[in-house]
Amino acid sequence: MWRYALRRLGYAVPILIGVSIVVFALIKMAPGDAADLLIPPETPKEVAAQIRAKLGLDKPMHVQYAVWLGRMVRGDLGISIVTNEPVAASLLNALGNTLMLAVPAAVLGFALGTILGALAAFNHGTILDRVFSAAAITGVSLPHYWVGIVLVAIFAVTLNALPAQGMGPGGIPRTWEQVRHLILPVFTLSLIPMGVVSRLVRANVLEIIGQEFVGALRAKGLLDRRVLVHVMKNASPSVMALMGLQLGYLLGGSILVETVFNWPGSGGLMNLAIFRRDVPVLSATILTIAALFVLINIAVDVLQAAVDPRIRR
Amino acid sequence: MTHSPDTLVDIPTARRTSALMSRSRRERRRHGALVAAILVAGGLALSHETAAAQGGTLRVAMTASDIPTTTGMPNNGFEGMRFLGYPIFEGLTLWDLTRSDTLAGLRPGLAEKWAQDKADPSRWIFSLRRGVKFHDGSDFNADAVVWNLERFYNPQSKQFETQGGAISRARNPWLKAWRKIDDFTVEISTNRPVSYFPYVITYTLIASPTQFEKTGASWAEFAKAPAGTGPFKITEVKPRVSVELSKNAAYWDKNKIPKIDKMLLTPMPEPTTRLAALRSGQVDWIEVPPPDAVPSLKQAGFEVVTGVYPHVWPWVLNVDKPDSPWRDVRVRQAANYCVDREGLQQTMKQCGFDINFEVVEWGAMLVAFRNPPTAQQSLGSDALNISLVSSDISRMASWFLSSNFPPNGANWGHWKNEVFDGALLRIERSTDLKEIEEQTRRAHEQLVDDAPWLWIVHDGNPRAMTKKVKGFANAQSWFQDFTLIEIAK
Repeated sequence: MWRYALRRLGYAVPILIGVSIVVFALIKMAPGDAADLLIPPETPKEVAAQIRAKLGLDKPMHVQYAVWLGRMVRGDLGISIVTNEPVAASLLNALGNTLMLAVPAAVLGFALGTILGALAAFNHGTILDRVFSAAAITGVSLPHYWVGIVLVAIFAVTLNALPAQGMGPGGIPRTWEQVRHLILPVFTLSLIPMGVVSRLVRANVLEIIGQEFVGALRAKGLLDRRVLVHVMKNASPSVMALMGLQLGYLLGGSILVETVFNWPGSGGLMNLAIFRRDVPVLSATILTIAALFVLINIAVDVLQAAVDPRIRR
Repeated sequence: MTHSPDTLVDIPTARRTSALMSRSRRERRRHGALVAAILVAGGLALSHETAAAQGGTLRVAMTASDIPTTTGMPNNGFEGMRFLGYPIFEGLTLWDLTRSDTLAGLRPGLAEKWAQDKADPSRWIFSLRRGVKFHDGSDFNADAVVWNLERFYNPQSKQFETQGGAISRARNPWLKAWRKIDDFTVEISTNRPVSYFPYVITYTLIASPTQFEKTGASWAEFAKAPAGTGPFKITEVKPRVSVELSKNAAYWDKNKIPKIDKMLLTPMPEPTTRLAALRSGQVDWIEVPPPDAVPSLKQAGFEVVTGVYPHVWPWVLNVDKPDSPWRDVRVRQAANYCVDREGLQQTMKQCGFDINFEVVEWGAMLVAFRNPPTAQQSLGSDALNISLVSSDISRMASWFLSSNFPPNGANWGHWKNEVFDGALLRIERSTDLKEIEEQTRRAHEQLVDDAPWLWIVHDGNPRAMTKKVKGFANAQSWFQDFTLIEIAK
């Protein structure tokens, strides 16, 4: 089991190197570099050349990449070209802010999705099934940044009940003032995981309750809630895999939702870094998110194996 | 003020800056009634309302995606200068931002007076203001000025600031040498005589050398606890979230001590988010509301302030590309006559122009603008639509002198007009106000008649605020005077 997990972890290394090369190549393909974005349009050529040299942007791309990789291997994420702040500090701060949205959004989305999906499946063909299925499809289909804008229009502008944007005092939410800043963005972010989880749970449960062992369980005289446990346990491996992916997406931060709610998370940091061609920030952010993604998937694989003995074989 | 005209070669700001603005003046005439109505309804009305109480916090949503640099040479363009520049840091000369009825001119700043050497017009003497202290309590003097010039213009200096230096040298490439004459007199030389030098020295902001040392001689650390001489001081910096400015009660100009206690500046790049923040009461002031939201904002009782300011957004025409239709002055004039600036209803197609648009992001636009118009970065385009400053003659020189073809300067279209070049040369070398005015008129005539640009957009600089915000003067400038503002309880 652990050997399996370690092997998966080993696979992560080439994945991350590949990701870093792609990030560098993409940035190189975009017109201009950080120096172009830092200085006014009327900057004379020699001044632009000086700042480019000072920032190391005059070196060939492979040299820049090698320098950057060398630093990363030593655990140094570097300094932002634009803000001069250590990338590690900016990234930690942004990831912390994103976690504050992602974790409650994942909990809410997964819980609602599982409940709605299971209820829809157990009430297959009824009006309840149709209502829950419609809710799930709506959650997946609506652009969530648009939902965010609508929620702001209703709850912040019209009712003036919740803040329109920002983190308020920030930090781990302990007070109502902190919590109320979370409500709209968390709900908005939870819609997609809620929708996709609900659809998968419904499909899986429907497939499982049609299988013979469920009939056998009922024939044994098991109560409905005991049957439900067996069904859900059987449905869980693929649902967990999907939840892992969804959690990865959420931790990556949503550029759109963070923009609508002016939330200073990792999506916003990445967006800024792209527009400023801030390679150290962008590479470190994408690599960290990619690493998180890989780790979450390994964790899901381990959990799946724990739940389903067939996977362990 | 101790501005003493007898010792100075004064420059009539409004007239000089009018050169680049003439097109907008035509527009202004056409829009006269509308502008007047907006001013009456907006900015002017604000200043005539009942006096508000002292104190309070002005909460502003900026369009910037991040907090502009707080070291005293902000990035994020002139919005950065507006909020994290002049309120905190000052130049030897400053913009006069107290009036909305005329284009912003100059006023003495950290220099009480300045004079151009008549024998050597590339030599300027600045007499510094006495009794000015930085926010950290240290004294402002000639050493501080020299230290800051080293910071921007000498890459070998300990305090050289890479980013700030590049921005300073872009805006003021004429500055060549500097020398302390005594504790309150500094000599600055330019690489050629430029009569408009007092305008460009506004962009060289002075930070505290003592505070730089106190923060470990690091600009990254200084950015967290900066010190200038301005009417506001930075009291809290939360990266990507907000900056808090507080009143500098010890400000040297006792008439300009801020009426508000604090300003909270939040970067908010998404227009609908700024709108929601204003309408839900999270901020008092937003820069650039979404245009389609203006009627509903007014209906809901918010002030929408707009007015003329020196910001043009023209099509810079490529006259270098061999097959560019703009090489023919008649085509350039025809395009300018074609545009219906009143309603912007008429399309260029109706005048026989068949246009394809290539939409690129701002970074790609800047890269194209810095390269020759026939370079690959310009994507073969015949014209380029970019936001440019038109505040004074220094900007006119930047955009139109034929010595400024990219990559050496910002005359992207490679427009060359000998009459214009000659007029600019005489303006730069002259110390005679009458001659400067006459040559400004000549230069301006060429900009109209030879039409290097398609003059299409003149930004009205809209901003929206709650009725609690009083005293705003809406200066005809990229910058604003926040010391005038009061917040009603």
